Amino acid sequence: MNAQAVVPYAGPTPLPAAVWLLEVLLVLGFVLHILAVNGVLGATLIGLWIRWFGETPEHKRLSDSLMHSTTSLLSPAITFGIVPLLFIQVLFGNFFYTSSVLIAWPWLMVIALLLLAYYSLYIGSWWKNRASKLIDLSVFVAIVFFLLIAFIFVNNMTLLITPEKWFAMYAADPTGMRLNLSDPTLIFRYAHMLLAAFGVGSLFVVALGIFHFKKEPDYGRFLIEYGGRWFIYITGLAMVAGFGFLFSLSAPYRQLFLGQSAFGTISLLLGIMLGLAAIFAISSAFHAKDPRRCAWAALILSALGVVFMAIVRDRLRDAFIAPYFHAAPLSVRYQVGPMAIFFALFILGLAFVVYMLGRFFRPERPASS
Amino acid sequence: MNFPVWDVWFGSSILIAIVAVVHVFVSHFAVGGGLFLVLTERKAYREHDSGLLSWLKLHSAFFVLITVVWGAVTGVGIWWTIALISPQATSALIRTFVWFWAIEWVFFAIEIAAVLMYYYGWDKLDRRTHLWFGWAYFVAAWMSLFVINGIVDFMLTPGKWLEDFQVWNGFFNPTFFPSLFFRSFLSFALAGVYALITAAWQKDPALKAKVVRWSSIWVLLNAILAVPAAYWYTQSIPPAVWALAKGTLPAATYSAMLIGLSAFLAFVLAFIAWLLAKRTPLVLSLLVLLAAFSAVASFERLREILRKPYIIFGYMYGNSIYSVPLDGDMGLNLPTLNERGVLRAANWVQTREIHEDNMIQAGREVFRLECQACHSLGGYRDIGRLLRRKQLTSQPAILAILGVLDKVPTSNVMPPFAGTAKEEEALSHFLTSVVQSNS
Repeated sequence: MNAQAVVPYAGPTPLPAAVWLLEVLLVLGFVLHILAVNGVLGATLIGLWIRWFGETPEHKRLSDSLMHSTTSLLSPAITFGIVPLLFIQVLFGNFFYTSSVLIAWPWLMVIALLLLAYYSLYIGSWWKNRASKLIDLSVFVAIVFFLLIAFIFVNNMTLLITPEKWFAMYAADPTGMRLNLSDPTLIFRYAHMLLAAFGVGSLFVVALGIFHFKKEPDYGRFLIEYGGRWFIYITGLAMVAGFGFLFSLSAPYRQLFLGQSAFGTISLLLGIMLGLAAIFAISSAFHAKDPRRCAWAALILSALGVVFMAIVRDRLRDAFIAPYFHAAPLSVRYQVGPMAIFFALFILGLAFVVYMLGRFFRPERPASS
Repeated sequence: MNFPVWDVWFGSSILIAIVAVVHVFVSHFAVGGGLFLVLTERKAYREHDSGLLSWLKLHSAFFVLITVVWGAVTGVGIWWTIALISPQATSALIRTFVWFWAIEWVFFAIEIAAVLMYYYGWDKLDRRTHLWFGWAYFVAAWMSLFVINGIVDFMLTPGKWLEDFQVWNGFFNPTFFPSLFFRSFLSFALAGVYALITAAWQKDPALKAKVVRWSSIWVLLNAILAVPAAYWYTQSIPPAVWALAKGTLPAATYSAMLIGLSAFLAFVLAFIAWLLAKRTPLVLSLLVLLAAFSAVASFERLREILRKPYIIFGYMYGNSIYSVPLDGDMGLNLPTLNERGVLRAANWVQTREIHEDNMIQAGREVFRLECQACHSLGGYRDIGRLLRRKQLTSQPAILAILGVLDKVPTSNVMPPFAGTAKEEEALSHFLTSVVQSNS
């Protein structure tokens, strides 16, 4: 069966805005989502690690504050996740729905795993007896489930871009009880995504350090150095895995990022260089008298690095699926009113959340009851 | 037929029903519960009742665990499930309403941020600021209901959208306002239902009596207010569609009766709780919850049955076939499929030509494309069992019924058969083999 023939039609419903705008929102949403996801991974992994291996009171204190913040990090991770979920359906629904159906049961399991992981994190965060082994067990379970969720996602995203496999998979088994394990890039992509996420996530500890430095400089410095070291080592490993991923791609796709496409090559180069610059910035913070400026620089540089890596990811998907777009172009019918309302509400909503955070963290009056 | 059909052995329609109902039951609580939290907090301050306040703190922890976790994740779960089972319809809904979904997302994000600050602010914020966070949560949550309500109602009553495809006409459709009122009262009543659970846990008898009475009043008052809203809702549904629920169609009538019965039962049980007050056992609260759940589940089921045979009324059938030709539908509409045949038009089939010796195999493919969105082989709405119940066990009898699927008096909720006479025959042979192998 010709692969092009099984790729579903986009359908008669026109797009409600231009492709470029929807794609910008897709990438932007993905960046926000993945940054929050990174925070969750960093906080849970480092939090559990020092519960097990940390020796000093500072370690213990850090572990406790990480355990308490995981649930509040997971909420924005899920909320921001809705944005790319929405726009990938608008733009690439015919690819996304199909690959999801082919691995339907594992894909649906993501919801159950997420639900259980979320409640496990609440046990880790709210359980009164902080010495209880139940906390270790529940956070460990949450981490295992997160790793599984990430693995299922990578399976879907690699299957989404390889329609040539679809029909044979479906013909062999339409029950959706399978994964995309035979993909040669799968394991490198998974390793790279996971390590990079963990690396960037460890900057959450650095951010806590910036927050504490003013009142408790010693503890603040400890956090910046501790989180910074995790960031350096893990990001180094993520880069190795990233090169593995690049070279696991077949030549035509790899070449896009090695000179053939200026946009792809520059995006990848910028992503790598921003990562290296972030490593440089955080190691400079270790020796600075006031480490906060360098730490801020590391946070901003790595967030920008994530933006360019998200663009690389976007380009790679577009390159893979380009041959499978049907001749019928995607028609566009602007919904100007609803779009304008969304953008206005988005800006107002953002301002409102910032205002709420301000009111929450700087109460005007002391607590009374 | 444009997309691969996910083969769920126990029936895909029951899977979607389960995910939807467990979400809806919590998501409405998430809205009404917001108003309940702020009004109860204000009551506690006015009456200087520290006991009520400490119960409310406990209740708000329960609220966060139920709504922020279960509500949010199962909400994403609905998207996951409908996209797996009805990708074509999901795609139409997403593309038509993407900005509305995006607007809803803004309110959802505010809602989540506000409720977390409300919960973690109990011992941190002064009373006024704390209440302010509660109001911010409730308003955002209700706005999120406002937006989703338009999209959900659109599926049953797309109204003028069918004529002009103008998105505002689809959003503010004929059932938008009655449904908004009905769902709002439902959500306030559910706030009382859930509060009865944590109320029944209380040890202090005076506090327990107060909380039970207060919570049951929420149930009783809002159940009464929901009645005219429900009546208005039924009046806004096209009369021909509503007739199904009034006796023409057994399943719809049964669901409609079950809503009434369950709601009445919840009302009576909540009234008993009000009378018992401090002696209210947890089991009674759980029975109120169960009755309310049954009412909500039946309401969702009724909406689904009334929408049949469509998934988007008057536009797309439950099996993702467009009921009329549309620009860009690639021929996946009823008249074209009747001419061209589904096996030729579908993307995901292995048997395209029908011969005497592959009838059953081809019929199996047609079954998957046209029937499996609602029916299963051995699971929910098992086709073998249904055919035997109607005593349709021979191939000619089954072939005859396939020709009039949409006209059978007690089951005129089926889309008409789409495809050529040969495909109809192949399907009849497959169904005969199913009936005969099970008997």
